[in-house]
Amino acid sequence: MIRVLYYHRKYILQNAWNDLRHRYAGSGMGVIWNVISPLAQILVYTVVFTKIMSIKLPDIASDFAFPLYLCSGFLPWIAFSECVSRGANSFLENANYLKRMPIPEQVFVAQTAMSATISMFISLGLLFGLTVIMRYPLTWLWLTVPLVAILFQGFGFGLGLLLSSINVFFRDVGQLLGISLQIWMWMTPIVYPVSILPERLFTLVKFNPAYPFIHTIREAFLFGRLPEVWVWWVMIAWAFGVPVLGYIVLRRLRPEIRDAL
Amino acid sequence: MNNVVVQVNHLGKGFKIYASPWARALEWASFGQKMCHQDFWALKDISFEVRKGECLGIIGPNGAGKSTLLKILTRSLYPTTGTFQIEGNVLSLLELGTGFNQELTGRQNIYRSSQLLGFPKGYVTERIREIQEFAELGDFFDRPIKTYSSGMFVRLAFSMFVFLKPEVLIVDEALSVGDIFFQQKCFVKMREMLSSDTTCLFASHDTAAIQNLCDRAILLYNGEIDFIGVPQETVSRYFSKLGKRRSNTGPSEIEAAPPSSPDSLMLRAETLAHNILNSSHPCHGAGGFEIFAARVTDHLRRDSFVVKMLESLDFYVLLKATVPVYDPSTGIHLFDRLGNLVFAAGTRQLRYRLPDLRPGQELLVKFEISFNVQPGEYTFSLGAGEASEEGPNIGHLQDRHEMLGPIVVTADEQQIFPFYGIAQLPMKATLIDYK
Repeated sequence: MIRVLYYHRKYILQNAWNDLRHRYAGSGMGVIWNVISPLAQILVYTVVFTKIMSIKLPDIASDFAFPLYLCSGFLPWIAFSECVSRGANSFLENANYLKRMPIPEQVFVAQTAMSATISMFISLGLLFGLTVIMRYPLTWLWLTVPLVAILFQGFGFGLGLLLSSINVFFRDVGQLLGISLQIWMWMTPIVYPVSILPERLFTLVKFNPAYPFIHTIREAFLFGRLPEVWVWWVMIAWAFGVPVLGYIVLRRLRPEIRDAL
Repeated sequence: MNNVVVQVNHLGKGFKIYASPWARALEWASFGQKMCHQDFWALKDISFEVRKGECLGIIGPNGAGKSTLLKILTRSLYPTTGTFQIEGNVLSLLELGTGFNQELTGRQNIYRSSQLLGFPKGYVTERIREIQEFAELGDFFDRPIKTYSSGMFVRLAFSMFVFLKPEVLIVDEALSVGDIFFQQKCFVKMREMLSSDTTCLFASHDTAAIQNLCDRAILLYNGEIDFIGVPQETVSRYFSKLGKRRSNTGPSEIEAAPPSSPDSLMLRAETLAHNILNSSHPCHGAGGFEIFAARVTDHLRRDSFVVKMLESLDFYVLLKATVPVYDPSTGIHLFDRLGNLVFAAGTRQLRYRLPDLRPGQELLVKFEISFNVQPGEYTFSLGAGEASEEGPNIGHLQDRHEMLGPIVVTADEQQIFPFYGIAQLPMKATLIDYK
């Protein structure tokens, strides 16, 4: 699978880039919309949580603490969920190409994952810049953030791959997925701090596969802390195990996928 | 067996048809223990090989499996059974322009698509001028594809394909692109490619194109290879598949024929004695109404296969019915040295109604044909059939003898030829004004 993806790397990169450029084609601000929509969401959550529900973060006492907390979890999550939901639809979206050209199926999933990752890095870059301007203490541990984010995207790519093959045969999967991702987001401490959860729920959250990724990024970014070694292993397992599983399923279903499109 | 570029072994493609997504879910849940689908076999046990530089035509009615076969060979569908091997890079005109990006210019698209198809950048750079000239797009070559008309789009795609010089080219009904000038250009280009080492698989309904371009042709029928051989015979077998016999075979009472004249009896005997039909010619048909003897003579009733330009030959065809035949017809096809159909007509085309036949009855028909054609060698075929359900231009073929002749048309080289081209058309010249 890796060989195939490497062979088509140019195609994947170019299409991912075009995808970002043309998604808002014809609109006045073009590419900028890629950044504006998550920003608007962050603004809404910030206002709702700090002004209306007045949640305070226990560990840091800065006015900007909540937006930073929110961004560091929310931006990777947006990229992840886009990776999964668009990845799951990628065969249907590209049916025209699949039916006529001998391009391997996984290329299309990789392409959507790539475009989600690129836009994630753009917004994370902005976030880093903003943080530096606000004189927030900068540590070397920030460098682990992109690494974890990439692992998280690997997990997303795997899920996308797995679901995309199934989605071809059962189109309900795509519909269910939107709802599931919503629920999943609220089950993960992204827009709210873990500390507001009761003890029982917190133990449950630890089993949420997305939690270690979000948690690690946040700890490294905000508090300059590294997670324990086993957390790394868990993340690596998700980031590599799920794509492998996805690929196994794809291989089983491959002969029929193009027939059913 | 060297030089075999395409090798196909027992290829089959079955589509699983499920009544609903739930049926599929049930089958998956039982791990294949419980079968909930029906198989539809679009292709069954297809085997053939194509040698280097050969052009193989594929014809067949709609739904015969032509496109499925080509899609499998381009690897955009997976076969259910069997295997195939193709040596060298394959380019398919099925893909015509599917990889193009609307926002990029023609030039950029050519670079991008050909890289996607596995050609290095330098390879395209060498050829980009030729492609640009062939496509005749002018300034549009450097404008985004979205501004193109549909004809321009196809021209760009076709130009790209022919200049990339693939080792195996797969064409599916794509030559009917653009206006007639561009089509002729495409044909010339295709010929050029075929005369080089390009191997070609060519599916089409255009039987003239098949006969023109291909070395061999396959007739696909209901997903199976019905026939494989020279294009001319494949094409005529294809046509014989098209016409179905009418279900009601006419009036039950067929009149007895009047007694034959002594002259006609003599002609019958002569035709039998000088019969040109023998078992070495390809021969096929549904049967029931057969040609059992034929003779070709000059106007003095001497056997002859040689005729001067603009003069005529007589063709005698002796037919026999073994079943009741309603509205029979018989006719002739004339082919030039390249296998192009020059002319075909029969009693039905001449609006000459032959009597209905009872089993055992015979007909003797004479055609007198003027050879208003270029000097050269010609072959002909004789056919017999009935009207079909499909309409006035498709007959139900019952017997056909192929590759007869050759007939040699001669001309006096010292004289001015009466015309140039394939055949003479009725033409008049009048002086209108003279000052």
